[in-house]
Amino acid sequence: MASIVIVAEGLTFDSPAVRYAASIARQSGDDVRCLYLAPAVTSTAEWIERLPPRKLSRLKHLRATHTTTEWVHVQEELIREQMKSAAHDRAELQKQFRRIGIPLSCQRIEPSGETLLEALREYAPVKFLIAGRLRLPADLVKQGIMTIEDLGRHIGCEAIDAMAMGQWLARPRRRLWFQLTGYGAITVLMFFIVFFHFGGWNHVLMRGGLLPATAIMLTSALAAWCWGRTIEILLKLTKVDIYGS
Amino acid sequence: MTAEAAADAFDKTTLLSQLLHQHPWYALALITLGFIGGTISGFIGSGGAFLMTPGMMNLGIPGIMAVGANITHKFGKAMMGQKKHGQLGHVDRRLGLFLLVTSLAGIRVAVMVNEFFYERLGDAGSNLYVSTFFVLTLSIIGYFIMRDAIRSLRGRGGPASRKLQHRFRKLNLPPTIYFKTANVRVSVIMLIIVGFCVGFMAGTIGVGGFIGVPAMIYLFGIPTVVATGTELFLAMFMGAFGALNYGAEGFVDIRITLLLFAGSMVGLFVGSIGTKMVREVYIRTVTGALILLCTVSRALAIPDYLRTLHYIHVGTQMIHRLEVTSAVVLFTSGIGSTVFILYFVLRAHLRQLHVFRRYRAAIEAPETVQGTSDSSPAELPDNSALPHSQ
Repeated sequence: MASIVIVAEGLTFDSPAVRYAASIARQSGDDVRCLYLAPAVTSTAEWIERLPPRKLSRLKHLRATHTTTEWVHVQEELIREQMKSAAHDRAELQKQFRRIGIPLSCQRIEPSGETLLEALREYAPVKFLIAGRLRLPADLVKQGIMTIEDLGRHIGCEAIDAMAMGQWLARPRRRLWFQLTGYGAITVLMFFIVFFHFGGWNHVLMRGGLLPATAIMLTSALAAWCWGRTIEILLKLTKVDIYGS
Repeated sequence: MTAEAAADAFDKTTLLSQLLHQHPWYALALITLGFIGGTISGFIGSGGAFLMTPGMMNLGIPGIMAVGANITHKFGKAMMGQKKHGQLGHVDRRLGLFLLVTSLAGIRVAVMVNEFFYERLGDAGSNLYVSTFFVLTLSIIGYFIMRDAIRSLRGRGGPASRKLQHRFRKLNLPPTIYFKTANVRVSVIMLIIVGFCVGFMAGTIGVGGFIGVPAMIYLFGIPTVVATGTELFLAMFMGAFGALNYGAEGFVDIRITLLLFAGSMVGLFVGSIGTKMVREVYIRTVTGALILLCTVSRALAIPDYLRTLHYIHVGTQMIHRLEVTSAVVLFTSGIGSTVFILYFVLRAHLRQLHVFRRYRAAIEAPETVQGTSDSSPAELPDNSALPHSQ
């Protein structure tokens, strides 16, 4: 039996791709596997023990000086937060799948490319792969596997970037159209004034002095802001920017 | 003739109107130049200035006005960029302000050194100094980036080396300051040195990011995204300072800046999308190749300054050939890099859309795709309630 694998980093049942996986699994009876790339450590002590000897001695050196306390605390807090959020997502996803009668097996793996590939090999044959993140672990990126699509090609199945797909399918908010109109109108008006009704103004601005310089700076800032926002919204509306850039 | 006198020799307020009148395509050329600079800037995280200023000069805009337009443009561009990084929490404003103070001192010293050469050797001497500094510093930076990229391409590269950072942190020079966003403790002495060097580079050749970002990553141990965000924050203030100075002298034609914006903003977004799709090693390769080609282009301009200063004897025809080659190398490298980035962005995007289109029907009507009727839509979440994009 084939598997449908969801790399559920930040994915919920609201994602169209996840719902698609659920409906396919319900029809075909394929297994749905869920992989979490969450940190597999629970405390600072455990985290420190897992460090390689060189790093451990470095940490001890830093501790001996005075530079590391905040660093350790921040790391610990981050790990705790990540684990809490991953556990919540996992429980929620399992609940939703159970609701529609599909057993979902979840596995938490370390966030490394090697472990991820190993888990995927274990689930072979994989029918298709769904993932929520575009940037993969650094060791995979080094091998040239940059996107989920590359990862799918690497293991020989089709892959969907659920986040990008969600953005692509989502209906744009009406607010975006209003913003586009507003920023676009200001930009066009500004270009129109500067290029067609500038005349004497340009002589004044290029005469020099602090006041004209401030006016130039503010015009530049306003143009960059309005035109930049126009382009940003336009790329979102035309679904060119679905990658969260 | 002084730079001001040379710039005043033409009517700077009507220069662009005349150029636009003579060549109707001129506005398009400036927009394209902005697009190339913006794409490269969005893709490699910094830069663009090293291509746009000489590019404008090749299009007939006097150097001083080209620098003025570019720095005013840099201010707006950095403002947009740092806003985006700021929303994501990638800007350490405190670190940025510390670096800003020392970088302004660096800019001031750079201007003084430049003035020294200008007074001693005139316009050609100043140009020779700037070009030599450009060639020396950027060839070293370009060499290291390229070496790193080639190693990675051969499969021998690893993540950015932290050896240098550990070595500097071992020194632990007091006093130190803790920066919360960057999550690092940095020696004040190191902050002063790096800030000064960034300012000096920016004040001499107009590119501070090439030294600022690697210094923050390798010496301070700051994550790459925070280093880029903080550098943009710094660039915004440095750009504002530069725009105010050039504007006060009357060398900024806002129309040139707006034409550059028209292209660069589009390029900036396209380039930043490219970073999510192109392998890091290719980004490094493009950066290294581009810097080295720009260095070659600038090096080809040096014989003209040496001849003007009577250090060497070269024929006028030869100088003209070198000038043309310099422009060709510059524009080819810029256009080539942009085509490379656009190709990768388009290819990855179209592939992605191809998959989405195939699955869209299935997502919108799962029961039809499966060929059975038992998958009641009521049991599955309502597809009409798709999430809205931001």
